[in-house]
Amino acid sequence: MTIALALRNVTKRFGDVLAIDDATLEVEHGEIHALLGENGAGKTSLMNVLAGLYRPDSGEIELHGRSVQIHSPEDAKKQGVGMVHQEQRLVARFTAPENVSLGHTQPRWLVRQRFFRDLAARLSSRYRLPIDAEHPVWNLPLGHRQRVELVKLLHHGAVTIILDEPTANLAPTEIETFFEAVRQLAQSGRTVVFITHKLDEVIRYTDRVTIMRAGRVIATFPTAETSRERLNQLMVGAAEPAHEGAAHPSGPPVLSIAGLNISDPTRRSSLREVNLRLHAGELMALAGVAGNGQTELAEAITGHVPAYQGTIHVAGHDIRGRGPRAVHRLGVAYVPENRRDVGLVAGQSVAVNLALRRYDRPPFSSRGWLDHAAMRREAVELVDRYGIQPPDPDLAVGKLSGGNQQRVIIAREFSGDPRLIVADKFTRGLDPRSTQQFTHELFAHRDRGAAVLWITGDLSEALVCDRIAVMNRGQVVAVLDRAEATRERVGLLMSGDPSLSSL
Amino acid sequence: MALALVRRSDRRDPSQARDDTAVATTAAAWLIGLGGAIAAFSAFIVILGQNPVDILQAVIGGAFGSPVALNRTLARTIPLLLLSSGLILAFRARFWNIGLNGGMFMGAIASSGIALYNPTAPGWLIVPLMLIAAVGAGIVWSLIPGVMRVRFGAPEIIVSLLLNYIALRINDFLVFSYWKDPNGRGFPGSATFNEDFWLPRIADTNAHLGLLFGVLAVGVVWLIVTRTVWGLEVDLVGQGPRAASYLGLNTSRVILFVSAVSGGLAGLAGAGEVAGLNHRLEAGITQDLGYTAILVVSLGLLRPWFTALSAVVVAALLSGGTQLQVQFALPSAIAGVLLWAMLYGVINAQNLAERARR
Repeated sequence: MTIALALRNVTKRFGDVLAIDDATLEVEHGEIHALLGENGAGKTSLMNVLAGLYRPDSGEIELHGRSVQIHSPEDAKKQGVGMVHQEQRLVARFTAPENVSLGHTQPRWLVRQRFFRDLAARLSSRYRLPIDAEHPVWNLPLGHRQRVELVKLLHHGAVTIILDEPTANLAPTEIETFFEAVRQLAQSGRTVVFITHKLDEVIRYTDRVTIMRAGRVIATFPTAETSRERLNQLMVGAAEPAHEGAAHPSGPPVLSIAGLNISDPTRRSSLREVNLRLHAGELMALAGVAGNGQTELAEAITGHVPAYQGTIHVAGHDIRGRGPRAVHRLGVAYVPENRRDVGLVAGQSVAVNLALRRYDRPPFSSRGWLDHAAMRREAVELVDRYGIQPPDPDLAVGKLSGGNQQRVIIAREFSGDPRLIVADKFTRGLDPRSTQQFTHELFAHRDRGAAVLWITGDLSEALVCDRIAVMNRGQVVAVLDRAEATRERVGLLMSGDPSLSSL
Repeated sequence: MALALVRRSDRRDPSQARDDTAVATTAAAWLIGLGGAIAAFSAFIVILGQNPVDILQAVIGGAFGSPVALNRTLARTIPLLLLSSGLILAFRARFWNIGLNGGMFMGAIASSGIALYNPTAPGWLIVPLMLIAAVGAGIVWSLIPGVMRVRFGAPEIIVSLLLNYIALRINDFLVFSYWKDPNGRGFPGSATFNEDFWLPRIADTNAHLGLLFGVLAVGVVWLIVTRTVWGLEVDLVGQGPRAASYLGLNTSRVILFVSAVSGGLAGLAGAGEVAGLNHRLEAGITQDLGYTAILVVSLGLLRPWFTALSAVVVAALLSGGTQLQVQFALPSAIAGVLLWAMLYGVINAQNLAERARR
């Protein structure tokens, strides 16, 4: 085997923070190489060096045995290095072929609809990556968009491909097809580096794995020679989240939904005849592939949907006509799916963001006058308790890392003893250690007597809950007890009719 | 006793911490930006073959150097204080109200109407009525884009801008026709108001009651922005509209609030021009200060006291610029070059400072 890519002794510092500490990574030609680590371990930073986004303070890059200088994404492209970023970087209003052709070297007048379609067909068949050429990419499922990104890289001649947590938003079936495509790329002689913190995917889909922790490379070895436990231990030195004790549901339902229908053409999906009951002291998973109505259901429960048929009761109160504020005051906490835009105000301090739910009431304000000191005192406590880094309540929340932003939302929503917690994919972007910590926290709230609805597309998360409600195309297709739920069964229910989830 | 002291400092410190660093950043941005702007401006003057020191001296002298100069500067400072303090709130909510010129016209017209149609009424009654009418007219005028935005999603930039021209025409119409002074020798303006209706002022200077209102407006806006729930909600709507709706914040109410406040203060600024300064309605009474205020708040980075300072600076440049024409036969627009250089310098310095703090 020959070395396709080597990063030697790379160090990168941001101010006082050592993001990459003397990291050395070797990737062999034609392999799928996992780069495994917690949030902030330096995986993405290291790959950003390779992709020309960061300039290292020291260290060398070698491609196919030659030492190269990569100072910009343009340089990286010339060297055949392409990266699919965590946040997708497609132009939402363009179709797939239009996106693929961005940055094209051919003259502009060549760029026509027919040309696009031919190109799309050619590329799709060449790389065996079916893509939709007709619709703007914002209309496509996330899995398809990822394929578009891949096709775009290949079209621009990438031979070394970096994937930054590409499966974060994919359904189990989509993940399978995605990796089939990736495997094909590797077999055709391309080299793939796959950034992740999901152990399952490392074991199942990669040839070798390099583990990073706190900016350092800890170890590299063939995936076949290792196990989940070993990887996890190397990565964090802790065990995986697991089911914690039995549920003790009690009293009348905290949340009761009857005959809920939402059909609003401006929303992504509609809901049909949803019936759910959730008791105090119970943790329920709302499992489903993204875009099957879970988020709509969460929004309806939390008072964000003004028009619906059916009834929603929270702790015995009909919430019809109550806005998000009034519903929150019934004791409903909501960790929204889209944390950056929805759950936080990036320009405001951590302290203000932690107080967003309650700034208009004592102790944070009285008669319209804010008490910044009180907000800050509370913030200092929450920052400490939830391990928000850096521990500075005055910092603008937009300057925190994604995982820490999520911590801020969780800290805010979980505090104040809510009686119902709706958490929409709340572990997204969190590393295993934090996932474990906050899952534990969810169970603690359940044991305290809160009802918890955990929306997730991840089977291992769904299976630790007390009950699992599965959603597909706007309907709750099944509610299973934990004892009767298996990985296969839930997975199958999530994907609905298998023939619909192909392409 | 000692415990009480500790608790006290404990209470003060936390809220101060955030403000202090931000104020320091802004102050640094100002110093660097202004320094750079003056350097660039000097180079420009050298190219024109003049001595920059002389020019800067003339500008400063023309703004503050004599009672006449001070009066001229003051005449522009007062409306700019009123206009820009309201605009701070609107822009913080990202409600791009550029209709202040129109609001100012409407305020001037409303207060003039009160004065012209009640020429013999007592001053203690008419002056407050004039001010109230002006504020009311400004609010109503400015609520048009506010309501259209909230109800129909109409872009306030377009609506408020176009309303400026309508206000301008209404003003022209009045001063050229019904309200035209018969003894004005054809000059487009109303008759001079009854002297009882003039705003009280210090001696014979331009320091009329509007100055007090202007300073008060800055102070109140500062309190709103830094200390109140309203101010925070204005910022939330501006910086995180989606978060605001997730929280269930009534965004429409905030938009209407800022459009009303900015319009009311613009109306008051208009009243100041007719009742405090010119003592009659004239064509072009606003001197386009409604637009200048946009520049003032940009220079002040939407912070109330920095904005007040930039209102003074901008007024001084506008007023000192006239001196260049007299002394050096340079176009008075040269002062505008310095103004834009300053704006450019300060905004860039602020961006750099923000980035450096990361």
